[in-house]
Amino acid sequence: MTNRFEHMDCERIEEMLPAFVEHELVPKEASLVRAHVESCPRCGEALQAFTVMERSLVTRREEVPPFEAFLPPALAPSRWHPSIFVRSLRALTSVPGMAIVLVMWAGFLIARYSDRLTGGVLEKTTLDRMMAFAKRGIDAIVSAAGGDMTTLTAVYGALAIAVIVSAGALTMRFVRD
Amino acid sequence: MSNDQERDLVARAARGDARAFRALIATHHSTAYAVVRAILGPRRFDDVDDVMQLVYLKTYQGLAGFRGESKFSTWLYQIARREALDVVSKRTLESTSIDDVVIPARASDLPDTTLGESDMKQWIERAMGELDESYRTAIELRYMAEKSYEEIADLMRLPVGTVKTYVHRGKLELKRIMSRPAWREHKGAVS
Repeated sequence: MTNRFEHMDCERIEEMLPAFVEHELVPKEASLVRAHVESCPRCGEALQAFTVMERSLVTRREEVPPFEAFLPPALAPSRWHPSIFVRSLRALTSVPGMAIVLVMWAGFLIARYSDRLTGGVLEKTTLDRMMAFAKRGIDAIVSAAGGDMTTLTAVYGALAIAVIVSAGALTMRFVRD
Repeated sequence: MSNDQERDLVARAARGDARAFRALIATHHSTAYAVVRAILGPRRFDDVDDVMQLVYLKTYQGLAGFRGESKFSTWLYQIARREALDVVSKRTLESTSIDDVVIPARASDLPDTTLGESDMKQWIERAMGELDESYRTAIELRYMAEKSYEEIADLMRLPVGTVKTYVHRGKLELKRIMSRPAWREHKGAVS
């Protein structure tokens, strides 16, 4: 059984070839065009031409240069791309990074300089003098905990974990960009 | 990128957040570039960089006035189109060359399908310059910016069927242009 498309003139078939190559024709039209080009060398050659053209057009995406090249200077990203080491350093000097350091430092001070924990034995160093003010506050905290090492460790531990976890979350956001 | 994310980026960019602006442009760069390339055509390729810089500068400066009544992509498309058309209108027409001579294609002429990929790319680039600007814009958005027919219709504010007709007629026209005897004889000059 023949169909009307097999007898359509080649010009009409050729007009349908771009859509055929893009698979934009409905299945019935596509199969009719396919049947025609199989029996018509001229249209078969035209189909080949559109197929080659399609393959070439698809590669035009590669001709788009990076957008950064066209940005006004004030909006262009820095040409300097920090290494992972520098990014880590940046994280450390960020507010949450500093929080971690402070927590660790506070823990060290409590353990090292509290009169209640060390029995009042203090080493008189420059650092001790510098931290004299802080020491009074630390002693107040230790006293509040009743001088009990277990309670103090538990409170400090819980506080430290909370601060470090939230600082970590904030740091990740800070570093991501 | 969702509409909410885009609105957030637009708001931040309008407040001067360069990072947000870069994120917006990164998403829509291929659209702006395709439109500028389409309107300038291969003969004004040297102007593309200048126009693109102007487009992004105008986009940034105009963000404060962008009310979000249209999509950011549509707004950027319009800026890119306007700036490119402005340059085209300012440039004097180039002198007529062999490529400007329109010779009707014979029915028996077909593009040489044995051309290498690199040659075919150059032929298409040259032939694009002779296409109607609407056809060229639709084709560049389709292939260079990899947009769907629906997205192109949205940008060009045309029915989807019209956009498909532009792309398909554009390809038919490209084939006819490349089938001209003048082009076939001139083949050695492009490779």
